Amino acid sequence: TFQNLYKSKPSRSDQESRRKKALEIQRKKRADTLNNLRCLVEGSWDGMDTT
Amino acid sequence: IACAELPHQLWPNLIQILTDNVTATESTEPVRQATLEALGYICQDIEPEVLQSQSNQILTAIVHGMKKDEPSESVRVAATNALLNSLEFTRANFDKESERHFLMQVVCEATQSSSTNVRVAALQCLVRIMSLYYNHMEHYMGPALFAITLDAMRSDVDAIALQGIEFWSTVCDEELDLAIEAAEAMELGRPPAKVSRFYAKGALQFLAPLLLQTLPRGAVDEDDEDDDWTPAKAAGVCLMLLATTCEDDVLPHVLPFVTDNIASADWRHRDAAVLAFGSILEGPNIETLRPVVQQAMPALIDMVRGDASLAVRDTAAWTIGRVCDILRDVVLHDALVQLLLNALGDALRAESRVATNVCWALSSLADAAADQAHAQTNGVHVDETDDTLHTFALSPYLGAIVAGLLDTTERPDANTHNLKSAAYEALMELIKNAPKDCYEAVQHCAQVILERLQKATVHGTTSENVDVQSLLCACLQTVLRKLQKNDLPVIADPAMSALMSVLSPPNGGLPHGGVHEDALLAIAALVEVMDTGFSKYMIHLVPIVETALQRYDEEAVCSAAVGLVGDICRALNSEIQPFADLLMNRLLNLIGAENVPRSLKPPVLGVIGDMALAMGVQFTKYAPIVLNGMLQQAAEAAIQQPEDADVMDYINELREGCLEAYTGIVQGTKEESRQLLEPSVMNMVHLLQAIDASPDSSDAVLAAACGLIGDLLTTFKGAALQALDIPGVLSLLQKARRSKTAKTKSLGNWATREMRKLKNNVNASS
Repeated sequence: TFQNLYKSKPSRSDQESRRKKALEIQRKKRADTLNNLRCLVEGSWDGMDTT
Repeated sequence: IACAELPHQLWPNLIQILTDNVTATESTEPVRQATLEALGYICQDIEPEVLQSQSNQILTAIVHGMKKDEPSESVRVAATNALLNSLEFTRANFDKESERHFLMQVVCEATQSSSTNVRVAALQCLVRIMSLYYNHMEHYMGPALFAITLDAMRSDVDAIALQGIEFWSTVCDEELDLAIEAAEAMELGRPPAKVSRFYAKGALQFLAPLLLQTLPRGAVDEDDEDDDWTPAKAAGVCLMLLATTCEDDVLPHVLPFVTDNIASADWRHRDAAVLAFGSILEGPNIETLRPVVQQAMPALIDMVRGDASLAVRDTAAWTIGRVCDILRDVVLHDALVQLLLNALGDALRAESRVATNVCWALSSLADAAADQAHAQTNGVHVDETDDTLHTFALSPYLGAIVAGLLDTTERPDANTHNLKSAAYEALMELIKNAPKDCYEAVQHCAQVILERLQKATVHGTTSENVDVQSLLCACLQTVLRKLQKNDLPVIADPAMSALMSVLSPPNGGLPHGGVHEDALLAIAALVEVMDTGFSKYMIHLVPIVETALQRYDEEAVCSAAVGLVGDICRALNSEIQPFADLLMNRLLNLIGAENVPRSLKPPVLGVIGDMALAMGVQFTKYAPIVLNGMLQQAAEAAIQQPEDADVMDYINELREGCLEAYTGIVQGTKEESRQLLEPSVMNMVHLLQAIDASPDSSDAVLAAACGLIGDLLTTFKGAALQALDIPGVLSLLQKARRSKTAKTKSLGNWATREMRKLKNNVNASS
C-alpha cells in the first residue's frame, strides 16, 4: 500500500474516474428527468415546515 | 490441499498433526521447518474464519518454533513468518491480556535476534500487529515498540530499516482513520468506538530527523528510476503520512532541513530537500504554508528548468504538481502563473519522467483555475443554459498547452513513465474545464482526436494501440460534451463512424474490455449532446449494444452498455419503440441469469424504469413479466436487513434500483396501468417499510422512496393514500425531511405535501 504513495499523482481522468463520472451523470440525468415530470424544481420545497 | 479441504471440514485432525510435528521432541529440524512453512502457507491462503477455532493450537506450534532456545535459524524464520500470516485470526488471543503479553514478548524478543531474517520477519509482525490491534498497543508502545522500531530505522540493513519506517507509516495510517472516525462520531453526537493515542505526534521529534537522514540514502541519478522499494522512498512516504497526521507540528522539524539542503552542492541532498518539502504539503494549515510555498516556487521552477540532476528535476516537477493539486490558489496569481506555465511548457519536452509530473501539474492547474473562476463569478457570468465559464486564469495559455500536450502524446518515448496516459488525461482535464474564450482550442482538439481515432482503428489491437484507442475514446467523450450545437453535425457522423469501427474490430472479435467501455461511454456522450437527433444511428448501434449487454464477464463493459440504454431511452423517448423488444430481452436476461455479477442488477432495474418512462403506455406489454416476475423477486430480496456492511451497500443499491423501476413504470404508464400495478402496491409498501426500518438506508434510497410515494399519490390519489398513510411510510417521509441532503429533503417535503393535500380532500368530502 505504502509503495503506491511514493511520488503518487492521483488522477482525475483515469478509467476508474471516468467510469464514476459517467455513472454520476447518468444518475443526475435520471433524477432531473423524474423531477421535471413532477414539476419539482430542485430545492423549491426546501425549508418548508411540514411537520 | 488443506486450503481446499479444511473449509469443508474434510481434514479435521490436520492442525493437530502439524502442531505435534513442531512440538514433538523427536522431530528433526527439516520436519519442524517444513511443518511451520506449511502452517504459514495455510494461514496465508485460507479464509481467516476457517482457522479461528484452532488458533490456540496454531499459536502453540508457532511460539514453540519462535522461542529463543530454538537452535535452528530456519525454524525460527519459518515460525515467525507463520505468525505473521496467522495474526488475522488470532484476535481472540490478542483480546486476552495474558496471551497478548506473551505473544508480544515473543515477537519483541525475535526483533532482537542476531539473524537478519528473523528480525525482519518479527518487525513485519509488529507492523501488522499495529495495524490490526492498535487499541491494545498502549501497554507496549513506551517500554518496547518505540525503542525497537527507532533502532530498526537506524539499521544499515535496508530490509530492517524499511520495517522500522513502515511501522510508523502504519501508526500514521491508523491515526488518520481514527481522526476521521472521531470527527464523524462528534457530528453524530456520540463517542467514537476507538480513540487515537496520538503516538505519531508524540514521536514526531524523534522520527523526523531519522526520516530526513534516510531520504538521500542509496539514491541513484539515472533515467530509469528503479522500482525497488527502498528505505529512502519509504521515508518520503512516512514523512507525507506524518504531515497529514501531525499537521502544523511537522513544519518546524522539516523546514530547517529544506532550507539547509535545497542549495547543497550534492544532488542527493538537494533531492532530499525537495522531496521533504513536497511531502509535507498536505496536512499543515494552508495559511501557514502559503508564504513558505510562495517563497519556494521560484526556486522549484528553476530546479525543474535547469538542475544538473535528473532526479532533482523529477522531484521538483512532482513537488510543483503537489502544490498545484493541494495548494491550488497559492499558484493562481498572475505573476506566478505566467512564470510557472512557461517553465511547465519547457519541461513538457524534458525527460519522460519529468514530463509525466508536468502533465499532472497541468491537469491540477486546469481544475484549480476552473474552481477559482466559479468561486469568483459565483455563477453570475455563466450562461443559464450551461455551466461553462466565460474565462479563467489559464485562458491566455490554454491553446499552447493543448498543442504542447498533443505533441507530448506523440513523443517517441511517450510510452515510458506513463507519459502518454498522463498527457491525454491532462488534455481531458483542460478541455473539460475550458471556458468559452478557449473554444478554438476545443475545436482543434476535437479535430485532432477524431483524426487520431480514425487512424487508430486501422492499426489493429496491439496492447499499445489498445491503450491509445481507450484514451482517444475518453478524450472524444470529453470534447463532445464541450462542442457547441452548430459544430455537432460536422463531427457527429465521423465520430460515430470511428466509434463503430472501434466497437467492431476487423478480426470480427470483441474489442479489448477497456476500449469497449470507453467507446460505449463516448457514444453515451454523443447521445447526450444529440438528443433525438441520435435516432438515425440506432439501427446500426443496437446489435452492438446487444453484444455488450451479453458481455457480463467484463463487468465494466456491461455496466457501460446498461447505462447507454438508459441514456438512449431518455434521449429518444417513444422513438425507442422499434428496438425495445431486443433491448428489454437482454435487460431481463441480465436480471434472470445466475452467473451475472450481482452489482449489475440494480442499474438494470433503473434502466427498466427509464424504458417504461420512454415508452409510456406501450410499456404495459412488459408489465406482467416485469412486475410479477423479476421486480417482485428483486423487491423481496431488497427487504432483507443484513448486518454486514458490504451486503448493506448492495441492498441499498438494490432498493434504489427497485424504486427507480417502480417509479418509471408508475410515471410512464400513469392511470392506464392502474389495474396492472394494483397487485404490486403491497410489494412497494413492504419495500418502503423495510427502508424505514433499516438504520443504514442511504440518502439516495430515502430520496428515491419519497419520489415513488409522491408519484403513487399523484397518480392513484385516494387509492394510494389508503395504502401509504401508515406509520412505516410516514416515518420514512419524516426521515427524508430531516435529511441534510437538499434533494432528499426536497422530495420528502414534496411527497408529504402531496399526502397532506389528499388527506385534506378526503376530510373535506367527508
